[in-house]
Amino acid sequence: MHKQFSRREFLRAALGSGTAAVLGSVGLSAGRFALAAPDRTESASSPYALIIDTTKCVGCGACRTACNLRNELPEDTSYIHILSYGEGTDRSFLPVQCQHCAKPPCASVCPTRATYRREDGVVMINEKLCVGCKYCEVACPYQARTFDEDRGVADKCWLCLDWVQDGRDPACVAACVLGARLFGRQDDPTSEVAQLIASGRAKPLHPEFGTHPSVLHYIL
Amino acid sequence: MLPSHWPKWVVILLAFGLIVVAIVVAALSVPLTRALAPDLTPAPELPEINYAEPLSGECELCHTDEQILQASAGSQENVDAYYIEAASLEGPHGSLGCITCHEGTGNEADKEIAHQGLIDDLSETHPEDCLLCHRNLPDQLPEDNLRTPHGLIRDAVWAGSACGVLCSDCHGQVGHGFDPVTGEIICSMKVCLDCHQERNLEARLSDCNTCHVGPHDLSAVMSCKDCHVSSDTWRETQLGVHPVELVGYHADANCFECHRWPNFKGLDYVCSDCHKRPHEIGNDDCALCHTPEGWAASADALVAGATAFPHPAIGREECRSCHWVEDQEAIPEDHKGRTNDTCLVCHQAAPAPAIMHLVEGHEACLNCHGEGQVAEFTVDIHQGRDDASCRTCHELAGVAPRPILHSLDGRADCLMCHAAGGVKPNPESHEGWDNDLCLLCHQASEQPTQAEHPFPKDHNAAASNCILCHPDNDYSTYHCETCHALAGMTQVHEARGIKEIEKRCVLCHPQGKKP
Amino acid sequence: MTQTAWGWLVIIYLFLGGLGAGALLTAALLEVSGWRYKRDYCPTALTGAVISGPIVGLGSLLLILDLGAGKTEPWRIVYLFTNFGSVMTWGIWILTLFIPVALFYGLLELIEVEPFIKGIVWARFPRLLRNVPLYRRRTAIASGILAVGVAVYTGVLISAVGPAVPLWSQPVLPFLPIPMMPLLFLISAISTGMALTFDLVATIAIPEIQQQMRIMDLAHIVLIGVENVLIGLLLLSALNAGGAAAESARMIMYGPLSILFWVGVVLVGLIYPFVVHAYAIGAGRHSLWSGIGSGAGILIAGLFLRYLIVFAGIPAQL
Repeated sequence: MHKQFSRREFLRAALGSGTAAVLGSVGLSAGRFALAAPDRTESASSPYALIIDTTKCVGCGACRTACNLRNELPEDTSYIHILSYGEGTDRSFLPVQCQHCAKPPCASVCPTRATYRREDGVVMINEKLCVGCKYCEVACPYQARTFDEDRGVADKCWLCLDWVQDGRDPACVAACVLGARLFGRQDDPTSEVAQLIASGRAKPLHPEFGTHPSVLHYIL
Repeated sequence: MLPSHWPKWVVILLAFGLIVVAIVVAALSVPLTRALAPDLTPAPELPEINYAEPLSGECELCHTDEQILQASAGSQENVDAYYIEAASLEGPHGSLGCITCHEGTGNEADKEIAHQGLIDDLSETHPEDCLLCHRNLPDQLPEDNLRTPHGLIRDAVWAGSACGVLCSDCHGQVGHGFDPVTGEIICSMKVCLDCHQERNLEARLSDCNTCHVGPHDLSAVMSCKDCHVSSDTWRETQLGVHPVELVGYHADANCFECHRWPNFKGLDYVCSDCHKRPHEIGNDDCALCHTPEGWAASADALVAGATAFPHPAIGREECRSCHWVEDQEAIPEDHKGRTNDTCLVCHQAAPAPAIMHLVEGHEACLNCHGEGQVAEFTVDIHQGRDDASCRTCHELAGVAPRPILHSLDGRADCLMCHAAGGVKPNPESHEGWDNDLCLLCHQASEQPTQAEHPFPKDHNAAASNCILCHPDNDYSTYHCETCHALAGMTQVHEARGIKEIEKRCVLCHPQGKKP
Repeated sequence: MTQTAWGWLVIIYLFLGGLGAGALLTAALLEVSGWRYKRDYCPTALTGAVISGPIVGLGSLLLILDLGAGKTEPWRIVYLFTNFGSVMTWGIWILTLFIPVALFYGLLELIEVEPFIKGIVWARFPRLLRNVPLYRRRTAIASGILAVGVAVYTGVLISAVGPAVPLWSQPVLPFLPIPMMPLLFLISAISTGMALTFDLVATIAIPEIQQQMRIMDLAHIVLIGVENVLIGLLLLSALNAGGAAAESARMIMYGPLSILFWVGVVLVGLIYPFVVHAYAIGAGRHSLWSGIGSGAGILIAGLFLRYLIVFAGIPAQL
């Protein structure tokens, strides 16, 4: 009933715009990788290393409690999550917290640049810039980021930097009674942590995520 | 379908309305669909975080609520015994869930059923169960400064042959709210001593070093008991042996205000390790001037006890050039090491009396001032001195003795006028001096020259009577008012418009005449 | 188990953003192709152009309400514009550019329809009235391009989390490194936009329009077909990937979200409209109420689909 040309014209316009739309979506997706913020720091490693020996961890949660106490967190949130695998006496535990990655996805997706990686490899949050969009919380493959409801900003393990810079261990390391957590300087080849990492016994967790954790390593 | 008289833009409102409806419908229907949908079992569960949920059950509902406990516990003692603070359940043991340790039946509101199979206090009744979680206890904990044979104890507990030793004996109330950060492991030696002292077990525990390792590496120089007084708690210390006697504040201070943990190192016991020198003088050997009893007090005491030196300091700053030389003034032993600039801190200059008389012709001081002489010095420090050293301390007064203004003819007996009680008595310093001494210092003066004294010396009655214009023998100024009364002069001059004439007479009357 | 950061506010924004963009695209398409001028009153184009700006604006407002500190200290929102490596920054730029242009487009459509508005414009900006169709066409093109950006960027945003939520970063085809979500969001946006402006609003205003714009049946069939394929590919690819992605797919297909998916999305939003429009093409006639029904179905299925995607977003297994 309708004129042929107008249908053809409509179809042409639709096809044209559809193609343009598809190309646009492809272009935007590709552009995301091109424009992704490059690794801002020079080195992919960090002078600090926190090694978690899962063969010693009994899942008591002392590290989590210590972290909560130090940072005055409510019970239902924590910077440290303790995952458990297996059953009964074959149970094993995996405490997970911010890995302080060399290519932190939380930093690259943060629209305000509130999350950033310092020269010493520690990933920190500048709370004055955070708007609380929670993109970082979604983007972290280790689910290490939490959200502070009261202040409306993102939060995560900050490696107890004030203690670390004083030469002490972070709270979680200090709290572990069984010695399942080691902390030290990677750049000192004589330190235990450096030797464990160099020997390959202590490895980054889930390297296939591609985020290059630079501080946290695990003995699995 | 819409009435045609409605404006065309109504469709826009329609669109908004439909959107709102869509959202509302979705919001209402989503929970319904989720409720109706099947759960994902037995699909593999992803790892859960902590295992609190399945194991706590309803225990907390009663045990953290005082009112409920009061209703069912019977006596107040029971309430106190069974009441658990909710906050303590957030500790590491607390969040494991009650049933993990206490057994019983979880998820039961009925008290009887819930308490079936309940273990009262796991740490007392089944200590071996602690080891189910804490399974990797090494034989000795590496950071532990006790050589506590955890391995032996662990094995003994497993085997049931631990003589009733429980984990909680040393680790205190490792209940729900154990705080791992502060690491308050409540150890008491009493636990060990109960068995080891009485029963002659393997280690007699008489020597601290059997079990305790450090933390101070002082075993070579001190024994534990030198400081640690109690074996109940090693925190109680009392200072026993200390290489240097502690006085003043040092005795009261906490060891670690000066020493570094753990080996008391880092202090070579130099004052400057702790004290910063506030003043420039001196060197780092604080003990030169100060004692530890009290810095300020010791310094003041030193100053108070220091002798004054009899000569001025100006021009003689190099104290040591005289006072360290062997045959010069002896310096006490405790002054060794002091520097020039420290002398003045304690010692003040109190110069020796000035020489009041002319020195020329009087170089042989001891002729008059020596022992047995006319004007003998009585001060002890002059013992054994000779003429040459007098000028070291005694300087010329810079005040020349007054000239004798009258002629000496017929006036050989000075004391006739100048004795005490005479017309013009001598000053007190001259007491006891007789006539033959006067001329040693006082010389007959010559009249001043015209140049020195332009004002006519024969001005009226003043001829040869210097004291009319210069009463009190003070030749630094003149006094016209001895004869010319000031009041009258003032009146006369003001009538001519001249004011403030005092002491300015000579300006207008240089020759003593009316201008 | 699913991610807990983003909830209903984000879902409604995704819905409104896609809807607004799609509605505007529908209007722009009709404008550019000339079909708008078949009649001097085209409710589809009118609705699409006018509601698009406000709806996307409302959605953006909801986003701002979803913020944390950005809500209580709104000046921080300026910082959102600064990190060009973050897709959220792109989004905010696109939205900032889109909303005014879309509002302008809406104004140009309203001028034709409501004399009161035309009067105001004539009083203040008479030069605008010189060649409204030309300006409208140009504005339609500009806003249409931006609308594609609005529809697509949200897909890019959620797929950018990469390994963190595997469901969201599934590729279109296993060997193609193009993520699925941007495409799916775009198709769904156009579909819902078309459903609202044409099947619902225009049909209610002018019931016989369905008969007149038979091309819409074809458009719907194409869009629904593509959407169907895309969703199927997404679920297959997720199941195949194992781990959290498979878990997400299981959750959707036979887990807690299954009824919502099969009834709310597939039945109501894909199968029913497809049958209705296929029948309309085949039989040559259109049932009014089934047309409206299919429009409503597509609309609400769009919202359900976004709910599913957000709430089935299970983070990667550790």
